[in-house]
Amino acid sequence: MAKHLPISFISVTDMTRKTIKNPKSEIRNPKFAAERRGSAIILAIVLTTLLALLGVLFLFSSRVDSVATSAVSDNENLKLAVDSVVTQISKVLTQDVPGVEPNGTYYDYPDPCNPWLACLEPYQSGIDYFWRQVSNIYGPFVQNIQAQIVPEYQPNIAPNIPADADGDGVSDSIWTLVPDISSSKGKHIYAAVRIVDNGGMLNVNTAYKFDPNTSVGTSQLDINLMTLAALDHTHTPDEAQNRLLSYRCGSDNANFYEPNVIWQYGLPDGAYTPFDISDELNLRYRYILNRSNVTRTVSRIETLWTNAFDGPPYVPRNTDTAGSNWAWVVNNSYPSLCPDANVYDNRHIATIYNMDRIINPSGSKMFNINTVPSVPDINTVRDKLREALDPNIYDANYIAVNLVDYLDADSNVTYFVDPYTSQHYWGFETPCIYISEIAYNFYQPATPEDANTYRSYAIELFKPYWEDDEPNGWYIETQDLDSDGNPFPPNITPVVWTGSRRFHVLANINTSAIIPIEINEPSETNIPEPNVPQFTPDINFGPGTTIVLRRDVKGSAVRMIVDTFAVPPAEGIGSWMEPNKSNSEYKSLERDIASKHKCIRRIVNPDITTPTLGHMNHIFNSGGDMIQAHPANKPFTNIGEIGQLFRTNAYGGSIGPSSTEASVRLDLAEPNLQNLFNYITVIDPYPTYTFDQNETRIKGRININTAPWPVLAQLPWLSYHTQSNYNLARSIVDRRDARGAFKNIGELMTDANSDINSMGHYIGKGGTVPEALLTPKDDTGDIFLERDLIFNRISNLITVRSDVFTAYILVRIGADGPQKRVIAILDRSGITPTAGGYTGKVKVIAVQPVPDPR
Amino acid sequence: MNNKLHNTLYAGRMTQDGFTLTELVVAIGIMAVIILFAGSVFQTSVTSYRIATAQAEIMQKFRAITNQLDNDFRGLRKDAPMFIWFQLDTSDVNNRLDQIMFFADGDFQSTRTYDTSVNPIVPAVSGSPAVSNLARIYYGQAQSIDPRDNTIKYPSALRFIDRVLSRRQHLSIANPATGNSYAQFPLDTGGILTINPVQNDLFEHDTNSLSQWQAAALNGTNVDNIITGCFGNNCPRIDLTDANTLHLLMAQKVGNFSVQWSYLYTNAGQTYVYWWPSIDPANGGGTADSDFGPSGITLSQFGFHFNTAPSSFAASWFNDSYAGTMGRYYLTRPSFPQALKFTFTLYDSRGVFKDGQTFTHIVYLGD
Repeated sequence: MAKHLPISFISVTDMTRKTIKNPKSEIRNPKFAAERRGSAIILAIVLTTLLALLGVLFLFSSRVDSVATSAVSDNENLKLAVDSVVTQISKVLTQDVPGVEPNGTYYDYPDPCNPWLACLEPYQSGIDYFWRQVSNIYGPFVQNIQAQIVPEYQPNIAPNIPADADGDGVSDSIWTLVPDISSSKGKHIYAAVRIVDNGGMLNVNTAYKFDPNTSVGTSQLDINLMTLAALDHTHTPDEAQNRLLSYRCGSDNANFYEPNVIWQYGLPDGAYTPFDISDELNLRYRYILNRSNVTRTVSRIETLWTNAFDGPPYVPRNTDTAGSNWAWVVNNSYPSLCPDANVYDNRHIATIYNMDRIINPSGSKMFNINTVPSVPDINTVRDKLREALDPNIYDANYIAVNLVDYLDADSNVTYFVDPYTSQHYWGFETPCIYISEIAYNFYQPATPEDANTYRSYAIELFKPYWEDDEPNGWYIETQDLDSDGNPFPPNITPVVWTGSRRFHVLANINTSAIIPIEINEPSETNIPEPNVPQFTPDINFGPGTTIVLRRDVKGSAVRMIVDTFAVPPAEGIGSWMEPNKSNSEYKSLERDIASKHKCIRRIVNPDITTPTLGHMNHIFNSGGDMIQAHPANKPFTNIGEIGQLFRTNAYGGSIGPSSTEASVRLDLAEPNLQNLFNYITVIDPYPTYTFDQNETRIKGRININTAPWPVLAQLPWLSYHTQSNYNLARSIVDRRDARGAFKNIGELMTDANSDINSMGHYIGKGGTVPEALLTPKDDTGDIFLERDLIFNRISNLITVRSDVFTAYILVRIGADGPQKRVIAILDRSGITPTAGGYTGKVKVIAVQPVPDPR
Repeated sequence: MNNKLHNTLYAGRMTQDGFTLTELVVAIGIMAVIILFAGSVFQTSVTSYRIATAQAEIMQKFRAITNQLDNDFRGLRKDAPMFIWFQLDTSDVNNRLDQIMFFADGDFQSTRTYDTSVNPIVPAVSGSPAVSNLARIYYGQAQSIDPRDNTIKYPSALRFIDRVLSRRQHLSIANPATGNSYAQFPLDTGGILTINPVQNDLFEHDTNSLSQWQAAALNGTNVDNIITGCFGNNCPRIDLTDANTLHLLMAQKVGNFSVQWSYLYTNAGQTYVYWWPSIDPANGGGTADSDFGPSGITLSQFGFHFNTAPSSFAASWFNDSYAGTMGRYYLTRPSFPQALKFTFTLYDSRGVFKDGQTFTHIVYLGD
């Protein structure tokens, strides 16, 4: 429009000129014509100038506008890229939650099934270091990537070349193309991601110290933090301990730290000051940032243990001789800086935030077997156990009834009839009482005028455990033979336990055939009330008969058989029941009840001995084939205690001389059983610490699939027998490197050839265990109780999976464009599988841009 | 028309060589029309240029404020207390002088450098900046210079256009128990915190950790001390001639700054989003239903405290009658809001927008 105006004005002028008909006038007055023409030009120029000015102004204003709405910057692109990567990580973490994907793995271990998870530490091969696996959140697993020095900014990257996600100067991941997105200018977006498991680190908010005299592994406080504190050589152990308490307990009462902090899922209940997210962020990238003025702006945890975290060795980025320093870091053997080969460099040793859940492979809450006594229906318990156990191998009904009687406080045998098979089940219950000795005297005077025979009989019962109730509703069933050798009907004699001692004698004594009864057992003088012998004419037995000890069963009309004693037949050893013609001579048959033996399978002494009624027997069997058992009648302290349960009937001769522990007990070394550990637990915030029955989160446990050995070594008892021998912790790492993930914690007990299995044999290998912790202390050989001891002690505090992870993320726009590093801490404990999906979301605890090294 | 033109030209030639009056009048008239037209166009474009420039300036300021808010709230610690101070501007009931303080994680660096050899710690010319993963962040209007008499006044005493938005950050750093330690700030005496307002402006650090703040916020006396030490008349004091106060400056010419938190309420089966506190919650045009008025809180200034800790401290507000007993009330509403709405009025430096431009910016805090 503006351009056309002048032209049309000129054409009007032209037209005007043409209409002048008198040519003379042009000749006569040329000046006039020229002036008129000129004024039009001036007019045109003026107008054009004005319009040009207008145009310029117009341009100006639109330019201002365009500056104001400038294009999205690179920074925005990088932010979006980070968001995209975090979203993908959240997705991958969600899919990996047990029960969400049908083919997912329960455990978290860096292997092809968990391609997103990276190893915490590299392995050494020759002089080089390799990552067994690095994270890949977009594709299949990537393994055996060499840890090499890379510059802060790698020029011209391409997919699959090694990258340094955490910024310590060493490659620890690979570059991948972020699929489906590009920058606003159409460039590819690259990402390098390293996801590590916080569950493989010591939680400085929950761990405390290991005391061999008190730590039984029931609490996260038993995980030892003092080794880490000791790296700060400026404080004595006592000072270090007190400093830790003063830091995290604030002005509140340290005695209630556990319920008020460790078992709180929000803020602590009280003025406690546990370490917080600021400490976590510092710990997670502290080794990237060896700042010059560390004394000024370090986190609290680094102030607490200055040398533990901030001393050398440094990572490559901060020194000139990068390569050699990397070696210090990973092999911790640089002579001048790490004179002690066992001093670890602490790269990934501590966290303030880790968590896992007591959930089973389908994602629902594990069954807390300590609640079993209050479960009214054995069917329910049995069904819970069947989720994990092969019914062809394990009779879950027996385990269920034995479990109930092991846990409940009463002395009533649990009796259960399977509604489908009508089979009967009795639980193994206190009091434990066995027939320990039978004695006999048969005197027939040699003089023919006295044709009388004088017979005396005695039966000794033994209750090995002081703490057991006195028997109520127990009976001895004996049988004698008539002169033809046929049995009389059985005599049933109620056991009337009169004292508080462990021996009780039932006797039928004829004064002419005396059997001495000594009720003052010398080793039991501190027990006030001797059991008065129970004299009754009903006690008598004949050769070849069986003496039966029975007890009443609540809910059943039939008294169950507790123990039997076969009286030897008339021939052979039974000759002991032949009449003695010359004088009265008493004899007895004894079983092994040596003072510390509390075994349920009793070995009969083949030799006839002098009676020891009312006190200790002569026989002592020290063999390793003893089966020692006693229902604790209280909740499990650790889940590893499950190995104390019977898988069969523990009564009535079901456990015979040929039975082995493995055949009657739950053998933790049995792979078929170990799966059970993914389904049952005894560490549970409900009902002790929360009213929420569905709470599954447990802080501070250690994932044995990801923890480096220095972390594992801090579990109670794992490095107890000498503070500098970490073979047990190292062997766990060796085992998983060689054979893959632990699918459940029970697999720690599997490998017969490694040191792991020797956890139990540990005592025999030089470790000394305070007597108090082997409760009750006994002198039997390496039976399950001893074999499982260390595993039992750590079983509550270890896991094979985790819910909190740290992701180091490096994104870049284009092969040589701008890049950005962030660290993200992600908590997936809110994800719960549902039918066909899941609820909840991955909680981003922090997404923090990682500054350049400064 | 041709005849008319012909006649005119002919007539001119008849009388004399030169312009006739008519010619001049017509020419001048045309010129005048053109000049008038061009002038008005020019005027319009100058005005639009000025508006565009002012708009660009405001938008730049807007973006700076919102980006900073977004960045800070991205790392908001919902496990830490958040404080909001609500204050009506008595000179204009629609204006507010609100203030907010919260904790956030991120990569924070102090504006000024710190000298490690000086105790108590003060910002110094030499040294290096403090860095931290965690900061206590404050937004609110500052005391600043009134150009009319060159004295520093409280924001309520300043004209809208002279008001200044301030951002105060305190990096959380550890206080080493021994050696070259920093003087405690905030002062912690037997678990009771006191905040010195002068130091609060001067320092860019806290020696208290997040968990110490969390623990402190459980104590009512501490909450009183924090609110009185940081808010109300202890809002930041910016002296544009003093370099030691410039780190507090966020944006100049911010006339109104209000913070509202969201909550959902259901009435007759319908769920509404409600922003609290509002001057006119029902949008009926009147202030009779104001949350500050008789139907709400009968105060023109009060502090608010969010905490996720034990329920009795979930959300409480405090009046500003410092002299008397500090009143404390508890809300039964959900403790941490899902979203915060910031409203601020921005003025350009040349006064093109006499009444400024008012923006709202909603920050979603997640659930």
